[in-house]
Amino acid sequence: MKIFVYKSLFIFILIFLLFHATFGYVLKSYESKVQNSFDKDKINFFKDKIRNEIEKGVKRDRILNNEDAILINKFINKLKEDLNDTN
Amino acid sequence: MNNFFFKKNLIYFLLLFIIIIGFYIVEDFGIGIEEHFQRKSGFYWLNYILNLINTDFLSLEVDKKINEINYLNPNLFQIEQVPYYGIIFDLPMAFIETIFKINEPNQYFYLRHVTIFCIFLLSSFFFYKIIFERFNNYYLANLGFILFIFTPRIFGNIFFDNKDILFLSIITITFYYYLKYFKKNSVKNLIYLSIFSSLSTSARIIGFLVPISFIIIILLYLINGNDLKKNIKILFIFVFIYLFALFAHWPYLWSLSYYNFLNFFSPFFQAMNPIVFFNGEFYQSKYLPISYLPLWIILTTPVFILVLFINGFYFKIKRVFLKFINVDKSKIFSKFDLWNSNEECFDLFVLINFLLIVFLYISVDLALLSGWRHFYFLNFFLIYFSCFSLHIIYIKFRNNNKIKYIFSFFCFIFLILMISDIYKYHPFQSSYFNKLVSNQLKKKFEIDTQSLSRVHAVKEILNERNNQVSIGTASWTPLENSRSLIPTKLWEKLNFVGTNFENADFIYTNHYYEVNINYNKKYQIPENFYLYKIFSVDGTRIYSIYKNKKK
Repeated sequence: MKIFVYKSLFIFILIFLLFHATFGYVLKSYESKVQNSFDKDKINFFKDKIRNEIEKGVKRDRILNNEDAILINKFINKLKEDLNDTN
Repeated sequence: MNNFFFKKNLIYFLLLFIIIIGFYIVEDFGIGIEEHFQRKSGFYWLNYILNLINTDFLSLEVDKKINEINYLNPNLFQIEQVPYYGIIFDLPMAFIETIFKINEPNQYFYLRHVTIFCIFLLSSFFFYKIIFERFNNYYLANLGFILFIFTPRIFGNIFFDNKDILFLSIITITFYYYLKYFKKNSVKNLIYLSIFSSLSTSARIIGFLVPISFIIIILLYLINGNDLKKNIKILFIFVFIYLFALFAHWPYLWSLSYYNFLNFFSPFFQAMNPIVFFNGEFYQSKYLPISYLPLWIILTTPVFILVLFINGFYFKIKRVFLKFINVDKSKIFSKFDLWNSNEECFDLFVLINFLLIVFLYISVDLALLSGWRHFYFLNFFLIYFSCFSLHIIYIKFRNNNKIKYIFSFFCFIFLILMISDIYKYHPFQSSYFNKLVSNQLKKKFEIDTQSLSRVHAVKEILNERNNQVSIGTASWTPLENSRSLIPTKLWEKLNFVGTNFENADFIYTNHYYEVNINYNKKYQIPENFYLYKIFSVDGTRIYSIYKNKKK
């Protein structure tokens, strides 16, 4: 009985350590990477960056150059046609 | 006879020497970042108890103190939000402050500083007794005592940190009563052990591991076929007194509902989750790399202690492992499987506690910040295994005086170097890094996480200016709380403007942030300020002051 208890204890500790040194470690490091990539400061920074770029764009005389404007216009018209066809 | 007299009484000379030094330098230290909150917590619970026993005694004075705290420090957390902090230091200090009518801020904070220093010194004496009773060697006990106190990061905190140092002190005294109990199984010692275990738990919830380790040891006794009835009785007395003492001294428990008890541990793991700067990267405190705690300990503990600890820990683990795999044979030499004597049983108890802490650390996402100060109680294990290591070395070379003398000489040199580092860093030993750390590497870590430098910085600015001065803060530091250690007659000269830098004459920063400064610009120094002063110790930048170009 005593030997069984000791062996169980030993195996339990080994499994615990093995789990945390392998799966546990990998899981934790990925969780940490994901969570730290999307912290509040970074998200707010990128929000502000996008907001600033939009504001800058609005202030400019033209946002798109002529060629791009024609191309996007054609593309939207084409999309409209396709959508109308399905109706 | 002379030699015997000296050996036995050396500890008292050391104590006297450290008391004199301590009282001489205590006023050099600033104010810790949590001290105002802890003082508020003390008055909150004192008021709670006075209301509970429905007495008018002191209630007027306590109300006045609470109003004063709310007026002077309006940004502190409400105690109702975080009511679970232990009260064993804060409540008696609030009581003393009220009953002796101590109303000058610098007086009541210095009183707190002197008290925590004295408590730590008392626990250091208990540590001395542990080492002496375990290894039966006066020299080793004295050396252990010196290492316990003069580990630079610990020494830097013993004059103001009444949370982490308090826990280190209580856990040390608890270990002493554990050793005493196993040397002499009296009910009195068991009661002391239970009471101190309960104090450990309320001081920091991780102290809950001490009673668990005790129960594990009793179970190991039972496995060895020890008297079942006797051990059940011991467990019953221990658990009963432990719970009784815990309830008796921790008012937080009185206010808990049945549902709160079911989720007892969850509030302790809720954290603010600020951003932590570690090894050159910004992390959320809940998602720090697993290397956080080990790396901090390796970088901020003297190399001499680290080497001794690793050696002592290795020998202890090896010894337990060998006993473990030879369980069947060990009965020939001893009554027990895993230890031969009460002293070895104590080693095992210390080892189990340490391993439980390691297992807890790697399995639970603890929200850590501010370096490793929440784990300063590990200093007990660091120094205990270092002493064990020295004990092993002296036993190994007991017949070789030459090696013994050479080794003692090196120990002496390392002690001198450690104490000289303490002198060099004074009063910022809490920002100590060991010799392995280059100045470049130091920049990748948070330094003055306890905002100890703010009093120093404000005094510097006051020396520069005779008229009123507006000071901004470009770091996560409640700078206005530094007033508490500035004479009240100078308060009217000080105007703290926080991060409203346009109104500031000076900006103080200790480079400690709760945000990622690469993306959040709230602490960015405006262009109309220039670097006026950098305060560094041993290449470690403690704080900087910027001055307005126009003012």
